[in-house]
Amino acid sequence: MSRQLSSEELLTKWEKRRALQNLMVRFFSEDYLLRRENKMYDTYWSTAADVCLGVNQGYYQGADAVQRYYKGIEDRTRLESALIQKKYPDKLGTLSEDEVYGTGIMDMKSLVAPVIEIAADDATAKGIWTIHGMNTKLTPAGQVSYWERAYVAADFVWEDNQWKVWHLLYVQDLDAPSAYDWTETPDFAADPAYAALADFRFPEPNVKMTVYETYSANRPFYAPPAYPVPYETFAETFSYGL
Amino acid sequence: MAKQFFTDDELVERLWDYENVKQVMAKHFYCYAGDLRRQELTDLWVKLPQNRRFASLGVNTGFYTGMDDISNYYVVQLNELRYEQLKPYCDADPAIGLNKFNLGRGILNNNAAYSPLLYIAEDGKTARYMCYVQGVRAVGNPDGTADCRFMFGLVYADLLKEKGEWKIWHLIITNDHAIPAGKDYAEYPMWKDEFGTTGQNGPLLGHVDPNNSYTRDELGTPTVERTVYDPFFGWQYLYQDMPHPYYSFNPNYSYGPEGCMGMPYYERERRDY
Repeated sequence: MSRQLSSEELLTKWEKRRALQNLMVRFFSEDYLLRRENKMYDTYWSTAADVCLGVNQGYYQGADAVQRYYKGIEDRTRLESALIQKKYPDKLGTLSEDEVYGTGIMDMKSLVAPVIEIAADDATAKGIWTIHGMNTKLTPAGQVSYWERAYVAADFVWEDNQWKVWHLLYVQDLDAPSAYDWTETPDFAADPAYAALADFRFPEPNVKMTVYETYSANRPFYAPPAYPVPYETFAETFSYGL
Repeated sequence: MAKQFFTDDELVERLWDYENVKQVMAKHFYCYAGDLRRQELTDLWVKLPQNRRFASLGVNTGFYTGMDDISNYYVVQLNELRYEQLKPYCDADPAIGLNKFNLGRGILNNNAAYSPLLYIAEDGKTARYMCYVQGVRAVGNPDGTADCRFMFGLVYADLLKEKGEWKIWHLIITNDHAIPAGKDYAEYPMWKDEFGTTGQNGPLLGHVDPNNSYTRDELGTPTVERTVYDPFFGWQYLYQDMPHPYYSFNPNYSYGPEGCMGMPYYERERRDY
C-alpha cells in the first residue's frame, strides 16, 4: 500500500505526469504531423532490450524491429513525396528530396481522454489516450482523406531523468475514407502518376498476430485496451507489450 | 500578489483533484466504448449507500434514479439490445452462437471527451464537469452493411469525493446530432418530418422511433420522465447549466433530477428556491 505523499512529493508527481502528457503530444506531432520519423526512435524510445510497438496486425518486438517500423514510414513518405513532386513540377520541381519530404499528405491525430498512472516507485508509468485522426493519405488514386479513431496505450520508463516509451500499442478502431459509409470500399480511379505506390511494401511486424481489427460490419467486438490502474511497481501490473 | 485563499497544501490537493476528476471521466468513456458498463458502475460511481440511493443517470428524456434503475437501464437493457443486434448474425451463420462471447459483433462505439470544463467546489467535496463528445457509432448487418453515424452530445456530471476518491454521482449523457456517415450534412433534412421520429438532431422528445437502435440505446424509459435535453431547442437552454465556480453543492443546480437541467429560464424562475 502506498504511503501518504507530502505536498512536495505530490507536486513532483504532478510534474512527471505533465511531462508524460507533453511527451505523448510531441511524440504524435513529430511522428505524424511534423514528419520526423527518422528521429523518433532515438528521441523517444527507451534503451531497454524489450521495447515493442503493437499495431493492429502484430508487434514490432525489439529495437531493430521498432526502428524498421519508422524506416518504413520514412521510406514510404520519401516515395510519396517524390511522386507528388513529379506530379506537380511547377510547384515542387526545384525542391530537394529533403525539402519536399512530407508534402501533400497530412496525418493529424489529436489525443484526448488521457488516463495516466505513475507507479508508486516512480520508475515506470502507464497511459492510454483516444486518438481522433483526420488523415490525408496518398493512394494509387491520389490523395484520399480518412477518418481515424484509435487508441494509444503505452508503458513508460524513467531513464536519464525523463520518460521514455517502453511498450506502445497503437490500434485503429476506425480507418475509413471520409464522405463514405464506413463499410464501403470506394472504387477510386487509379492515377498513373501514383502507380508505384502499389509496389511499396511496408515492413511487417516480426510478431504477426491480430491485435485489433479496424471496423467492419462483421467484426467481433473489440473493447479499448484496458486503462491503467494505480500500482506500486511494474511487476504487479499488466504490460501493453508482449 | 493576489490574495491566496487556500494553503499550499490545499492547493496541491486541489491540483490533484482536477487531474483525478478528469481521469475518472476519461475512464467513463473507455468503459462506455467497451460496453464495460457494469465495471463502470462498480468502479467509477459512488459506493456509499446514501449516495447510491440518490445517484442518477440523465438522458434526453429524463433521469434514471438510484443504482438499481441506473443498472437496469445502463447495463441490463444494453445487454438485451446487444443480443437483439447479434441475432441476425446468428441467423445468417449458425456457427455464430447467440451467446455472450459474440455480443457486440458489428458494433463500433468510440467516444471521447472534448473541451472538458471542470470546477471543484471550494469546500473540496464535490466537482461539476461538462464536456462535448464527438463519437462514432455503427451497428452492422450480416450482409456487410452497417448503420454508421457520427454521434454528438454534451456530457455533464456531478462528482463526489468518497473516502478520498472521486466518484460519479449524477451523470447526464445527452444525444444531440446523429449524422449518418457518408451523407451530406447540408442535404440531410433537419427533421424527418416536422415533428416526426428522428432527424438530423436525433430523437425528438415524445416521438421515439422504437425501431431505431440509437434512440432505444440512448433513451429507454427513465424513472423520472422530463425533458433534460431536447435537440429542437439546441443549446440555449443549457447555458445556465454549464459548471461555474461554486462554494458547495446545491441541489437546485444539481445534474440530477432535483436540478434545473434542461429547463427553460421561465420555468427555472417559477421554481421556489
